[in-house]
Amino acid sequence: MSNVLGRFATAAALAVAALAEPAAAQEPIKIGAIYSVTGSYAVIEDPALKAAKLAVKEINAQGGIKGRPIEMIHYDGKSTLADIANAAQRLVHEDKVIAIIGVADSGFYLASAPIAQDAGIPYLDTGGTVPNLPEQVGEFGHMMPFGDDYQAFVAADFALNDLKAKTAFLLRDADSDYTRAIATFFKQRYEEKGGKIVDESSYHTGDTDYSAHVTKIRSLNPQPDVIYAAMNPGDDATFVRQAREAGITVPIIGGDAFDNPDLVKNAGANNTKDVYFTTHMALTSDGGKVSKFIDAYKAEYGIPPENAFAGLGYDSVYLMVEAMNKASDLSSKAINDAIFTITNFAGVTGAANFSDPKRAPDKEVTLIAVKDGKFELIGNRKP
Amino acid sequence: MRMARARKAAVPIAVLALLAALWLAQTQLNAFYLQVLGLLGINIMLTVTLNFAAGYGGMFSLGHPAFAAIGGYTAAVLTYPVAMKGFRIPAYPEWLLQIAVPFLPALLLGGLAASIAAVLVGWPVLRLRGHYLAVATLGLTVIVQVSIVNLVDYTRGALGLSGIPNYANLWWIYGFALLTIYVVHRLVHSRFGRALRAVRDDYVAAQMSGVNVARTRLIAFTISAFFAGVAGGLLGHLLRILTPGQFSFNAVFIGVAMMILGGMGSITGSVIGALIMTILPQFIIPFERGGSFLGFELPALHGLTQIVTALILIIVMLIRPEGIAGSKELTLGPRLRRARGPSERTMQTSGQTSGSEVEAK
Repeated sequence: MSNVLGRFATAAALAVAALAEPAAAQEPIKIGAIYSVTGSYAVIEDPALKAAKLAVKEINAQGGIKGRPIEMIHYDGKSTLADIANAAQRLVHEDKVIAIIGVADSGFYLASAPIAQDAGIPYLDTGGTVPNLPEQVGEFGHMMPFGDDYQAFVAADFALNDLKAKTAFLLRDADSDYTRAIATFFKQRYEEKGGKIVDESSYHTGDTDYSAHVTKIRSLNPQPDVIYAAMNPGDDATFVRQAREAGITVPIIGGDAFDNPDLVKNAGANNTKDVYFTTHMALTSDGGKVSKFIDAYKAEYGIPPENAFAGLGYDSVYLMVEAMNKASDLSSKAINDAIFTITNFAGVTGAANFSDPKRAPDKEVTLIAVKDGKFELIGNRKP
Repeated sequence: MRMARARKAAVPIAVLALLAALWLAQTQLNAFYLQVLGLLGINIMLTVTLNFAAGYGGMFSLGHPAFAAIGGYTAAVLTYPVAMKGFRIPAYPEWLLQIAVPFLPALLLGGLAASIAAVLVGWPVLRLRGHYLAVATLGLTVIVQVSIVNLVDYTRGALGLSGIPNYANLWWIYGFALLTIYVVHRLVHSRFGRALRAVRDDYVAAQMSGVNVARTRLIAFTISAFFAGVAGGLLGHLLRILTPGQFSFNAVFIGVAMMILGGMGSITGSVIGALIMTILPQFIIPFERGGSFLGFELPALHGLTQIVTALILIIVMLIRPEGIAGSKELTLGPRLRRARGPSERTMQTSGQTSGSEVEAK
């Protein structure tokens, strides 16, 4: 008995000694992540989480930050506000992380960000696009994507300058904040620069019959030069198909919601001619950095990134890493201050400047044209 | 009603113990635990008040999230900081934009607004029974949710009304939770409560006995909506944000699940149901993200909480279809049962016809 105990004690002591030495030298840096992998937001936040995990793996393989590995602690937001707020509380007060990344919805972000703000921990929004989120939260709030104003402004400039469209028809989903915002910003910019909105109409998320709107557009004389469709995923394809089948051939421009494979699948390749949209990154682009990311994602998960939110999740980790590398020490305050000094971040979702503490980064918007059923990059632009 | 000495002593002792526990929690625990305990108190309130309408009143309402939404938004708009009202929710009349109401009146006005909605909706809808009532009240939930999304200048729409002051601490939440339990308990064990259950069990017989059926149901529905409205106000001031998504089908489902799990027609059951559905997931969540636990390597198991709570619901429904507590109540010691008056005992058994086992009293 005593023999067994003795042996056990020796083994335990050895194990502790073996573990203690390196553990002290490279104690991991804990960052928190809140992404919904169940519920309605899983389709956009799950790719973001997978890409964020990939980024952490890459950084740790390169030796971590200042010799210490990163440990990312993730909680499922379950697409539910209370669970997201609980996750933020848990990360801040139980796990004691030094920084947080997460969520792809402005409401989710506003539900969890005040918790990080009160605790003085930087919290980077991965996908919510209301332009002034940091202003609403405070100095510890940051955004990875461009604001809705940027993509609508780029779309308006593209309509006026590239398509030479002097008149536009505006179709908007009245039920969501995102579609209202991009429609309003598009109208503002388009009229400011001399364009004319000839008519507009509203629909509700999930509508399947757009014949009233299509008839309205067809009855316009002369026809508008362009249609700006502030729509949600799913609805976009239905509308594009019905408009084209009714003989409306004018160009259609959409927001980043158009950036989903169902657009071409459900509308048909023939019907998506002259369809353009603004988004966060071109997943078909063959620029070095993006290709490397797509290949790494494929190698890790067996499929290419599902959508641009993967790129935003990937960039979220790399932005935090750059801030940590720049920071004088690894305190939350120093990391937060360092984020404002990053003026030329080169991510897979475009170059960005984070120096404005009140709003979304000054960042390039990707313009895509649909050609023969494929998404083709037109270019990266700033308004 | 005669009271046993045991009960006279037990109630203050229980209340004192709870106050001490609340004081300890509020001073010792970190914000994470406080938030979970706060959500627990709010869920207890919502479940008890839903049970009052559905379990005791036989009005299977799927509209309670709508009442919580109305109460929540009303209270939040009233307490909202004046400096931010002007540009965030500019559509209200000028005098309302210039005032920030203290927490208590705001909560009560929120409850009142929910009650008014309940009267307006209940008047036509409570003529329906069974699943017709359920579907009609579900319609209310949908209408309120869509209205919140579209009244952007009043509610900030789908983005949610954020920046609500964080007034709701454990004292407020558990104060109102206790008040809800007390009021529901007293009502259920009153002449009104007996009439309400008589209506639930046999509509015609109750009417023949001189019960004003329509009025009884409407009053119970309105009181139930009041507490749901106050709970909504507390929720907004705990999470500091309200969005229409919080009051969707999911909220309907969770509310009904908590009630059925604990037992329809039992306050104790409602507390147990809320406890299981709020606290248990918090213990499972750390296992969801995988990692090593006690030397075992576990993969990430996302959705584990939902699976476990669903399994518990299925198992309870298989073993105890009437819910964990059925329609029994936790009583304060055996002497109490003996001390109960004969009138109350008959009333207790008369309320048992809804398929549950007869109490061993």
